Amino acid sequence: MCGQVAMIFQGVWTNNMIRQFAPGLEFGCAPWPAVRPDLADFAMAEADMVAIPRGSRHPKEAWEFIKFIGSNNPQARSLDELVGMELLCYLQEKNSPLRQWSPFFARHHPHPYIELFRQLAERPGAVHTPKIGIWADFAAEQDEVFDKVRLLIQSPAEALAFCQARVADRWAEHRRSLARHGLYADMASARLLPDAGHPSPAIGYPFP
Amino acid sequence: MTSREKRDLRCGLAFCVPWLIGLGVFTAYPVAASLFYSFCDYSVLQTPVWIGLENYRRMAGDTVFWQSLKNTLFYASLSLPLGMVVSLSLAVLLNTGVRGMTVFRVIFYLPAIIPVVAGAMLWLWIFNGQYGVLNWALRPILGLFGQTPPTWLADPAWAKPALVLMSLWGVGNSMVIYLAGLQDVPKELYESAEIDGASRWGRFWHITLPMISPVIYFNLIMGIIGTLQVFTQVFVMTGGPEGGPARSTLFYAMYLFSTAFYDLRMGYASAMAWVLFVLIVALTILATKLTEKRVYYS
Repeated sequence: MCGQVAMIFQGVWTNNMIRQFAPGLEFGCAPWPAVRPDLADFAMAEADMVAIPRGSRHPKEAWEFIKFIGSNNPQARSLDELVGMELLCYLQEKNSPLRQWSPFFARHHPHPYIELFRQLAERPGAVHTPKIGIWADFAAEQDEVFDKVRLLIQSPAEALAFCQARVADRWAEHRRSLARHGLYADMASARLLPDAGHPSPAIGYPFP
Repeated sequence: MTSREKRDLRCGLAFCVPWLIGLGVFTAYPVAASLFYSFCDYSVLQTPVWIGLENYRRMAGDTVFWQSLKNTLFYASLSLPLGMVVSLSLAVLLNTGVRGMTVFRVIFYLPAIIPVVAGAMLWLWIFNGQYGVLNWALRPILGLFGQTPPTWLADPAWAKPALVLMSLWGVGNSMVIYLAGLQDVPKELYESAEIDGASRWGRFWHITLPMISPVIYFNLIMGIIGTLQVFTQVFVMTGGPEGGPARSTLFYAMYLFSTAFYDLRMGYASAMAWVLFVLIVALTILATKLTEKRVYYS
């Protein structure tokens, strides 16, 4: 970011940070590089979840806020006409998760590369992170792969092999734990772990 | 027992009860529970399921567990002796009776009362590879030899030595204990040694060190316990429980913490805690055995 970095792996929100901390920085955005054509245009789509906890002191106001966030004006032609999700995404300089964007949002978005993110989100390479309890553990393991490769400690193949073995072990342990607590649907096969019928999630999901 | 004695006993027990309740609820029960959970598959959110020794067996094959232990022992083996030498040296210097000594004592003790997180943030900037004051000072010196300073916390080879260096910042507590020990050494021993022609080094080696040997032993044991449980400053300085870069600063307590509170594997974390406890007890016994003939109690 200060003349010594050629490329960073980041998300749509980085424009906001650049504007605040390095205004005037010349930069461009591109999809993650891929050497295999079938892995092109990979993008991770993550979303925040809004909930009203039981015992909330202002549930009505919270529900109004959720309704506002869920609202949209697909005809908006000025900032004043933006509402709900698009207004939030406009102020955060992110792409809208809605399929249809209003004319104002699409043409006057503060992020100069917002169209790229929109296209990425619409392509088959866009995936959501697996909804499993131990995803955070997997993600941390993949961060280690980045560290080892970036610092030339291990080759990508070595680092990924280590990560794959560890993730597979954690996945098997997690399923055994679910089975012990009666929470695993296929308890009979869970007891026989590891088995070929329940492969562990591949590293770099959804890569094969 | 007279009625007065019975009343005194009841009164005494009543005064003890709050402490006993505290001991039971906040110490004895958690310790016993963690021992039980170490034999269970327990995620906090579900009821524990007994799995015998499986957590301990998994630990034996967990490469990250061994890496965290190796990192911790590396840190302890450097930080502990260095810390003891530096704090003793400072205590000796601060015991010389030079004018304005109180001011010097306050200055050297001051870092020990700075909150750990604040100190860690300060050192984070000191070690900054690009803008840090340490590299600002080192760059021209190393430049004479065509070298550049390391990036410290961003370099897996230098991250642990950087943390060892930082640990010396907090030697104030042990320094004060050494200082108290040094002031208890009888002056007449030095006087008679001086009459016998003992040099300064001779007086230090043959009088000071043996006389403060219980204090050295105490600081050694406290140091073993403290360095094997190092957590807060590393957690703050390396940005979380993974101990980056590339797990080079993943210490035992951090791995235990992330296992318990990030992965919610409380059973495995409890087993790790008990292994650490056994390790500390073993090292304490070893240190006691190795020093028992060199520690003198008057």
